[in-house]
Formats: sequence, structure tokens, C-alpha cells
Amino acid sequence: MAGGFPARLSFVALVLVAAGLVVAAPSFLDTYLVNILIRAFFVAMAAITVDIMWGYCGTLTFGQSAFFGIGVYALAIVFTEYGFGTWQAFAALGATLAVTAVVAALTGWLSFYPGSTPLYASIVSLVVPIVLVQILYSGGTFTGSSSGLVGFESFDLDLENWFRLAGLGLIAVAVVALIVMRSDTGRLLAALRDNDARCTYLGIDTSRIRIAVLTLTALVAGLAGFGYAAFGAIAAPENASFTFGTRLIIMVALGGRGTIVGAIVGALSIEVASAYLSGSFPYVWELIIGVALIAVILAFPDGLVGVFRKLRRGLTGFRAAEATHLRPPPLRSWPTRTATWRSRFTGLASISAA
Amino acid sequence: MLTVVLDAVTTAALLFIISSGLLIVFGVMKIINFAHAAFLTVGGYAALVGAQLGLPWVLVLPLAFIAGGICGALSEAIIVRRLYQRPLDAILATWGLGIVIGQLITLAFGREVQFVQAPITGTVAFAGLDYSAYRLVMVAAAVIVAVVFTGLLSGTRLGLSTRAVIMNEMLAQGLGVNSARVRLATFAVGSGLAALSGALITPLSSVDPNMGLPWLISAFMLVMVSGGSLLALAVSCLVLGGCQVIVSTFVNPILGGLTIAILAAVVLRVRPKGFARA
Repeated sequence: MAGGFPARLSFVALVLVAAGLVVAAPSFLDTYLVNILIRAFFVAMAAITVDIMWGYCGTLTFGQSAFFGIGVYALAIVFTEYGFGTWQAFAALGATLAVTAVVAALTGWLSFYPGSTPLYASIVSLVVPIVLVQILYSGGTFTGSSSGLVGFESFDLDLENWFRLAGLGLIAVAVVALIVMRSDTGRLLAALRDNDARCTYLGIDTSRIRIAVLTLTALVAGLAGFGYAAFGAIAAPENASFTFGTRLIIMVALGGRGTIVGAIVGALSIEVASAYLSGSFPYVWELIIGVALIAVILAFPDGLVGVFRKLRRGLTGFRAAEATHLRPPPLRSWPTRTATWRSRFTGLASISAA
Repeated sequence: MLTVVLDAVTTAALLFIISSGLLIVFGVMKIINFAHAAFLTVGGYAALVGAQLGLPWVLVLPLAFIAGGICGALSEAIIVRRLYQRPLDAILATWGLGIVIGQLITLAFGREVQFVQAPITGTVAFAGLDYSAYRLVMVAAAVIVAVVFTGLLSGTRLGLSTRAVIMNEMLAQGLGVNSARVRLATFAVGSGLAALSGALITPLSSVDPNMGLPWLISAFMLVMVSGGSLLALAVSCLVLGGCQVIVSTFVNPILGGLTIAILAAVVLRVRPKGFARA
């Protein structure tokens, strides 16, 4: 990791502090907030995957919600049809991983091919959750149609331990993501985002890498959905919808794209604020989100994390390196002698000056 | 059988009117306006207001167009203008704009579904069966829209400047075309068209703050497949709209709603130019 030993030490220290907070927090926070935060932690995991796809790879993807939804419904359907038990849990887990991987690979094959444009990839990522939701609607009692699935038995864990599980899971995902993104892989993905043509020119198979990243992030998003449904014991088509997908993007945009921390900040803030404000002022809250999105895109492309970083730089007096001024060469006398200069290519004289 | 054909043609006409505004914006500015659904809703509510004020339909349609045009002009000046170099960000910003407009409409008019009386009710005897007169009027409206806009593009100076900007903006600017004004006019006209189409479709279903959303995805896919030309848009509306009607009628209405999106994605994968001439 860049930065050497002190940076690594402060990173580990930060992670330990965060983990400690997660373990200790349920004792201090009230039950409603704990409930909200558990859900928010799972959503934040999905938001991290969106950040990896969008902030690091440069693909504006509305489709990560589809993979989240697959995880949600895999668990819900297995537990509804077959009840709750050890083999059912493993089956649901296996189904989540298998189905998300297949759908992601298919989506990736459709979106990323030599000559595809980022716009086309976004379009395909738009279509996937819509198709999935329609499939859910037409599933009858198997998928619960528009009402979703409720009342299935799920893991028996008390609220505080769910909080610790979800929080530590989020920290684990974030740490892995940060380590990977700060390594050469992260550089490769940034290169893909910034100049795809040059990467292809250098012999890197950009389509295959993008498909691989999509599949891996889809697996994580699916697992996040699995956890979400395991805690909430509810599966609704909204969990897989295009609207949820755009909500994830808004979270990443507001928090700060291209920084894993931004995704977490955005997801947690919006989930918590939504829970508290949408009861009292539903329309105004959505309005605020819309305005905030526009403001972020226009004025603060780096989101909250970007603003925070700028403030920190301003406070500590850090200034961007100024261009070094080259000293002008000392003026010498002009050359006083010239030799005859001639250049010939077979019969052609290209330069000749005396 | 004839009912299916007529359904297909009228659905295609409806899709054409809705997508034409998006196409014009995409063709000139190369950005997708995700607020299109919101402008459609603006037009729907303009029609509602007009109907409540008792205005004749002949006045309601221009009212909707102007309402949409004003919203579009304001959006372009405040938001879209700064995002021409960043098309993906423009998608997000216009989506945010769509949310804002939708919420403002909800705050002003409430969330419930409302209805507008159709100006032409009843059926018409057409080639042996009774078909909804209003749907047939859609076809006429689509043809009028196509004719008017082709006329504007080829017959007026603004149209000439627009075509120049579509072909090569930098060159057009170099030749003295005020591309900023062209973009403003285009966005305003595109939004006006969206509002007009919203006003036209309200008698067919209803008016609610989210009425535009289902149409947005279909319109978006149709515009992508048509690749920028109005004629190609008409063709794609007929082909894809026809497929949608066939699937809805013979297979499953839910799958029918998906046909346009899926077919368009597949067509684009196979032939990135879509239905446009090579």
C-alpha cells in the first residue's frame, strides 16, 4: 500500500476503532436507530459495489440493485418454500451466489465488448433490474408478485448481534475494497475508466476485466441482499428495482464517488435521514434529495468526502504543488560559425543550408 | 387480427410522439434527458388544469407545449448547459431534475390519480370493426408531429442551424452558428414535445405524478435504437411497438412491457447503429 508504514499503521488503527465502535454501539443507541442502521449497513455494502463499478471503473450502473434483489429473493423463496434450517440456509446462499454470477456474466457479456460505449453499458444495466422486477411480478405466489414475500422464518439472532454482524461485515467489505483499490488492481481499473482505448492498445483485455469486476461486485451485492432479507424477513420487488438502483447511485454521488468511504457515508446518511424524515415530510425529503443530486453533479462532483478533503487541505495549509519554474538558460552569444549542413536520401536533398 | 394491427399502429404512433422530443434532444446535444418523464407529467397536469378551467382542447395542447417548453428552457439554462462535456453526469443531473419536478407536482396537486375527459369519445367504424376514435386520432397526431418537425428542420433557418450543429458542432460554430441558442431552442422544443405528448395521452389513461416513468424507459430505448434520425425512429416505433403489442396480446402483458427494452438492447448489441442508415 502506498504511503509506507505510518500510513498502514493509521489505516489499521482506523479499522480497529471502527470495529470497536460497531461492537460497542448497540448498547448506547436506541432500538429504532439500531434497526435502521442494520439495514443501512447492508445497503452500504451494495453502495460500495456501485462505487467500484462507477467511481473506479467508470460504468454508470443502475443494475447493482438487481443483484441485491436476487440475494433477497433467493433467501426469501428458499425459506418460504422449504422452511428454515441449515441446509436451506446453505441452499439459499448457494443460489444467491450462483444466480448473481450467471446474471452478472450475462449482463457483462451484453454490455462489455470491443466497441461498446459506456452509454450502452449503462442502458443494459438499466434494463436488467426492470426485467427482473417484471419477472418477480409475474411469478405468482412463488415470488409473491407485487406484495413480495413475508413471514418466512429466518436466522434467530438478537438485534444487537445483528448490528455487530452487519457492521463488521460492512467494515470487512470496505477494508477489502480499499486494499484492492489502492493496489495495482485499482490502478488498472482507474486506467480503464480514464482511457479505455489506451488500455486496449497496451494489450489489456478491457472487456474481460470489466465482466470480471461486474461478476465479483454482483456477488458482493447479492450477499448484501441475502443479509438484508435474513435480518428483515421481508422480500419486496422494490429491493430489486431500478428506483433502488438509482438510489444507490445517488448515495455514492452524494458521498463521493471513487472513494469507498464516500459510498458508506452516502448510504448511511441517506438511509438514516430517509427513515427519520420520510415519515414526517415525505415529498420534501425526496425534493431535497433531487436538489442535492443536481447540486452535487454541478458543483461538488466529489461529494461530501471531496468537500471534507478540500476543507482539511485548506485548514492544514496544504497547497497543490506549483509548477516548478525552469530557470531561463543563461544568454550566451549566438553561434558565429555555421558549417554546411546537408542531408540526402538517395537522389533527394532534403535539407541543405550553408 | 385487424384489432391487433390497429393496436400496433396506434401504440407505435403514441410511442413516436413521446420519443420524438427525446430524440431531438439526443440528436442535437448527444445527451439523454432523464427529466423527459417529468416534462411528460408536466404536460399531463397542464391538460388537467386546462380541462378544469374549461378550455377547449384546441387551446389545451398549445398550453401544454408552452408549459413544457418553458420548463425545458429553464432547465437547459440552469443545469444542462454545464454538462455537455459529461454525458453520464447529465443523465444523473436530469434524473435529479426529474425527481425535483415530480415532487413539486406532488406538492402542488397531490398524489392521487386524476382523470381528464377525452375530447373525442366513443368508437368509430373502421374497416368493419369499432375502434376507439381517440386512438386513431393519435395516428393523425403522430403524422402531424413528424411533418411539422421535418418541415421545421428543413424549411427554417433555425432548422438549418440545428442540422449544422447535429452534423458538426465545432464547424458550425466556426461558421457563425450560435450553437448555444440552438441548444436552448432544441431543449425547449424537445421538452415542449414531451409535455404535448403527456397532454395527448392523459385521456387514454390517467394523470398522476409518476405517469411518465414507464414511458421513459421505452422512449429511451427507442431513441437509442433509432440512432438520431426521425425516420429511423418511426421505423423502430413501428417494429418494436408492434412486437410489444403482439407479445402483450398473445403471450403475456407483463412480458409485453419488457419487449421494447429487451429487443432494443439486443438490436444495439448486434448493430450499434440500431435502425439508422449506415
